[in-house]
Amino acid sequence: MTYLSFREYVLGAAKIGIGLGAVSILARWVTGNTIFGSPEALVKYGIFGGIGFALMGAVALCFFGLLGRRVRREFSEGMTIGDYLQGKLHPFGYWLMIILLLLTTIEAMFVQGMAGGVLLNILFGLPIPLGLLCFFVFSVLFAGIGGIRSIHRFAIVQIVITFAAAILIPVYFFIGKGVEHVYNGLRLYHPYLLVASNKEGLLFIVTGLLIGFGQVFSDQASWQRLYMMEEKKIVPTFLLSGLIFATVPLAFSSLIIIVIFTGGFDDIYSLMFDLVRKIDSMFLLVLFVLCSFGAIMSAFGAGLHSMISLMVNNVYQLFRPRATERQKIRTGYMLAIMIGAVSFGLTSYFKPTLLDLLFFFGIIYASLILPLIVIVWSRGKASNFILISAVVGQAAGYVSRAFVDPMKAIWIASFATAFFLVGYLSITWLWRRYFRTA
Amino acid sequence: MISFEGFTLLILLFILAPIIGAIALLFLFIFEKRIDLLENKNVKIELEKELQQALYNQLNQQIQPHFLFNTLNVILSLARLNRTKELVRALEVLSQFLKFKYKSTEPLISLAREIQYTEQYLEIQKLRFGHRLHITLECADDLLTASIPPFVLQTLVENAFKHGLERKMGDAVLQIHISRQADDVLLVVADNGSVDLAAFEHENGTDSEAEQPHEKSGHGLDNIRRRLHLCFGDHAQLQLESSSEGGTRVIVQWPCIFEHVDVR
Repeated sequence: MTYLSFREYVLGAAKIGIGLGAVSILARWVTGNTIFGSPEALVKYGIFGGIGFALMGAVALCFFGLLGRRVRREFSEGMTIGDYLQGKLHPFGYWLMIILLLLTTIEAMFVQGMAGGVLLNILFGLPIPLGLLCFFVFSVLFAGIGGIRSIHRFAIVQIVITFAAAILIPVYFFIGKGVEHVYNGLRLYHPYLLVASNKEGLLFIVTGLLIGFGQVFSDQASWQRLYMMEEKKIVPTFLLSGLIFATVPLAFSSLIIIVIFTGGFDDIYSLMFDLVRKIDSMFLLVLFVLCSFGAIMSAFGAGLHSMISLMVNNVYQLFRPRATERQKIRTGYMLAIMIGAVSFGLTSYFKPTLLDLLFFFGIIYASLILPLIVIVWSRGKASNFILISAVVGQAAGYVSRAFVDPMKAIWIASFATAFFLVGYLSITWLWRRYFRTA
Repeated sequence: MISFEGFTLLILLFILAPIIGAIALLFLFIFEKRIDLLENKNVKIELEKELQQALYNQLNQQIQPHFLFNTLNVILSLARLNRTKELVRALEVLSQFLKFKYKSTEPLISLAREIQYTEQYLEIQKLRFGHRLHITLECADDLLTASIPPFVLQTLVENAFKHGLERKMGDAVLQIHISRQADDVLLVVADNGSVDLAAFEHENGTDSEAEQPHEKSGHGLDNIRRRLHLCFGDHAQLQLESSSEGGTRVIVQWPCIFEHVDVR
């Protein structure tokens, strides 16, 4: 795939419309996490856990459209979140933010890599390291080397397959088993899933919203998609993407009910294995496998591509301002291979569960929401203290994990950030109003 | 505990949600280009309307110097003849006339107002021609509120003097007849002046040479034609003919509208 400029590699040759924009955003956000995380949320927090999982990304995407419109109005010529932040932050704040962004992208790609390896293991009995290697090689080729054109082509196919799976598999199962049987089975084996006043489930929904906002607002791939479309189409595209996105985790969380209504289960991975075994139609099985791989691969690809864009455009170019377009594209290719190798190493070494990982990095996401909103809504350059408040919140969150459960640690992180940020903003407001004018 | 009915509803939601999502996405892919196309068409139409409005306003502005120079020539001739009394009166009428001109910015005005301003112009001519000038103005009362682009009648009358009655020896007759013909208003301005259609048309920019936009832009009849076309499209027409008894007849026809409308 040949690109004439690095801009074309990052954003494509022409602006995309609402349809392709929504598909591109969905391909980024319908991830391994959506397919495997939503059943996990349902098992842990009841039926409303599944709904909360759907809501967390959907609401965040809808609101990101509003933020995005302002970003585009203020700075329309950028390509990445880094371009915008370069204009809005002082050097210290800029580099701090770049480090935080790289951390969150590595997490996002790590999750997808892990899900891909596990899936290959479940489906084909392939040793996890070999499965991971296949997954990373293919992802680096299609997204890192293929660029945005290849990502968008793959996104359309992936979304068609995802919706086919999300529609056909639940319909097939619920018609085959009968809703009443499923309900009676759940009442017998897992009555806690049917509890309506589940306080922990409610807390999960609210915490999920917090994490979802942080994930979307600091996601480089979503920022990149802001610059791919016309300004007037940003709000409708993100709004529709959010609403359509919510439907996918709902469908996949309903699938797990089919698996557990006939008895107990050992762990979340065995549930996925049971689900695959229960799909007795070959067509639906192939559809499910393709859908899962497509989701994981497209999310990993979008993460990889946006990370390359950020590193070349906002790190490499600052050190090599005279680099030609060809040099930038070549650096991008090299970075793709390097990031693929690092991701392979990380996923081979660490083995957390998806929700564990979500809660661990949720602290970074939750503490980034308010500072990012304040940066976008502040006039001119934003102070370094705004980002320092995020770091303070993250420190408070990680320290508190030793004493409280992971979900509460996320709340502590976001409250600490909010407290520090509001304190700083109040002091600067008072200073401007009463001292500087005097 | 969630009841069976509640559970069924939730499962229904879980099943229907992706179907609705897929339909929404499909709808976007199929119709987005059409919606964009319609939107672009609307923008184009709006721009065309704006352009027409600007062109119309420009034409309205052009007619004013045309009239002003002709009137100043009339006043100059009164001054040369030392007809001070008439000169003062002419300046008074001109002042009243200009007051209207610079106030009037509407694309369409009522016939009553147009007649009133034309009468002010005729007042000046009466001072020059004295008892030699015979004017007949007929307009049905119900047509007084009909709309007309400003300065149409006044420009035709002005042209009648300039190209016909100025050179006429003896009695100068000017007839203005406004009537209703089906859904249209019919305006006839006839004079018994000398017939010099070629010069008349050239002056008014209707011959082939004068078809150049810049050439004809300053001329009366062509200006009227273009303004009528901008306002009413092909529904309005202007004809120029020499009358059998000598003199010239200008016939203008346009749709009868009784209220002020936005020409855009």
